[in-house]
Amino acid sequence: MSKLSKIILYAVAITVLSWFLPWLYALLTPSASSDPFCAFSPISSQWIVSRSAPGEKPVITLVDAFGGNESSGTRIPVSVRDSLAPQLYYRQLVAHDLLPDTIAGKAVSAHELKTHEAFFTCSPRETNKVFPGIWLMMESMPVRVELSDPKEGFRITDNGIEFIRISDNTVNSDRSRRFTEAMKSRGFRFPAKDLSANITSQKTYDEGYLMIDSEGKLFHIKQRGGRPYVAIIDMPEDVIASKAFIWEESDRSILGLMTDTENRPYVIRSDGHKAIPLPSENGKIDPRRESIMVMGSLFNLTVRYTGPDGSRWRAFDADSLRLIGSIDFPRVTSTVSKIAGYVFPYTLSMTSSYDSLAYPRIKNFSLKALPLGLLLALTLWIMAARRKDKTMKIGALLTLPLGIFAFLPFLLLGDE
Amino acid sequence: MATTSHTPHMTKAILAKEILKTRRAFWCSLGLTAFFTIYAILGINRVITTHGVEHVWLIMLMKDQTFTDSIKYVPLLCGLLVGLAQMMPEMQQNRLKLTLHLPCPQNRLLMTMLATGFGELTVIYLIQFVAIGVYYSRIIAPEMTCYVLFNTLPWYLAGYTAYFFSAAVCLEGKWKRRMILALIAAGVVTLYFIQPMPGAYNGVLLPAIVVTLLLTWLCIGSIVRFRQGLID
Repeated sequence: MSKLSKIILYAVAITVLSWFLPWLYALLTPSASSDPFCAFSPISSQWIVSRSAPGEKPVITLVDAFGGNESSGTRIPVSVRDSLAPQLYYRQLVAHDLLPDTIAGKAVSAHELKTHEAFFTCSPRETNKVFPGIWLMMESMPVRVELSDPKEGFRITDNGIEFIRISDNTVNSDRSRRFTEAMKSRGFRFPAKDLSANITSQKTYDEGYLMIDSEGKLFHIKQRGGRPYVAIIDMPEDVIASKAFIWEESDRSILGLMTDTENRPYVIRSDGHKAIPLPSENGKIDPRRESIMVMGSLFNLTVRYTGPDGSRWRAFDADSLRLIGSIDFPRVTSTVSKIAGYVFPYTLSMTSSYDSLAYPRIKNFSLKALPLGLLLALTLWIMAARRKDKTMKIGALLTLPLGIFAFLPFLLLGDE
Repeated sequence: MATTSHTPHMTKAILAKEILKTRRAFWCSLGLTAFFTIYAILGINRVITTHGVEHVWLIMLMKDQTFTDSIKYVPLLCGLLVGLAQMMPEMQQNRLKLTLHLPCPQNRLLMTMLATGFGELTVIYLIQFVAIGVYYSRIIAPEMTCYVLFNTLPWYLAGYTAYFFSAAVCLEGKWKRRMILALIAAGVVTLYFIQPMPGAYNGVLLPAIVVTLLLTWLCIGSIVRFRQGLID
């Protein structure tokens, strides 16, 4: 009994320290993100890479569209950056009467640029969220101009969709039947694998849901005047949808984004409800591991994928979706993290920036911490030999692989 | 032989003694729990009156709120309160020495003591759990009620953890080890609160229950050390 209590005590202490010490170290040594911000110039067809640090002037570099890097690029001042990226800084140009009439062969005005502005982000944290299994349905065609908060929620069962009136928490059988019939008649196979919507009355219009059925087909579903609107999204043959993101930006030409089971990304055009694959040079994207940011404009679609290995920026022509620029920024390990590698043989974290789940994750294994582990183990062994303490000797053996995480509990608890 | 024949009566007597010892802490904890549960329910009622029940659904589904944040640390407080009320007198008035001389096996004695506190906490937690469940089932869909209730489970586990650790700290005879146990307790309890997203702990609830129950052995360790005379 006593042995078991000792084992439990040491195991708990080692676990808590494996989490606490790296957490404390990270808290005491904050480091600023080194990720730059990029924009693709429709004028020079080059990347504009901006880096800024707190209290310092931004460093802006003009880099080639493909294969360029910052060190070989040209430094430019802020005023030149504004002129080269009018899709982002048109307000500044208008204020100084510097906005040209035509850019890249397209007639432009502040209004035109604003209409085609789009900004979309999604993170693995959001993608991997735990949902309760109830979703809300908005009215896309309200009587008044403004959208209002949803009055009904719904659940997806194996056989259909079931609407629930929020006011009295009862099932709306009539609407459930109508939607189920409409969805089944369009070829929707229940249950749904994935749903995406922006439920808020603060947006300008509502496009309802992008839903992936059990066979991986993608559907656009919304409520118009209380009635179902169901449209299948036309995808290339043999493609199985895995994750969809509805957009609802001021530029209505794009309905959303989608990835398939092979992690290939697609843009869903509103016109014709078609999923257009992004060029293969774009690479694959796993939205459950990487965050996506899209900036749309009259000229191009600039996409940033950020994952554990760094960030990748891609620019596509707004009309043809042809790849027009590509630049990568691999993750640079900070000095602080490098030092941690010499102290901690591994780290234990309960949370992650890639999801919102709490469970133990052991990572950052480092053989560089072995010398420190050996030194601490030797110290503990000598102390154990002097005190003739068997438990401490076991601690010394454990300290070799577990380093400081085992050393501290055996040092502090092994005195009697 | 005499010890064995006396054991059932002795267990009942110990149980009665522990209930008497913790009755104030029990009622205080129950009162505290009732107060914060009613406060949470009144808060939701207020939102329904001012913004409509649609707002509760919207906030819950889109903003990841369960409107139960006010009860978050109450189970932890109850666990601490019952644990300290039950075990502190044992050490303060040196009653533990007398208790350990009772004609009852040491482990059975300790388990009876811990079962009393565990049982009392379970009653308090169950009342709160059922009250929240019954209230929510009237206004939101069953899936959402489960979502809310599952979200409260790590808080109850933190409460049991606080109880077992406070017992182990009180029964420990050396101040140095008491401090270390208290620090480890703070670390373990923190793990139940570091991810506020609803449903975050659903995947680890079963292992967490097992680990929580294993913590009873820490109290056994403290008692063994006490009997070995490791006292300041």
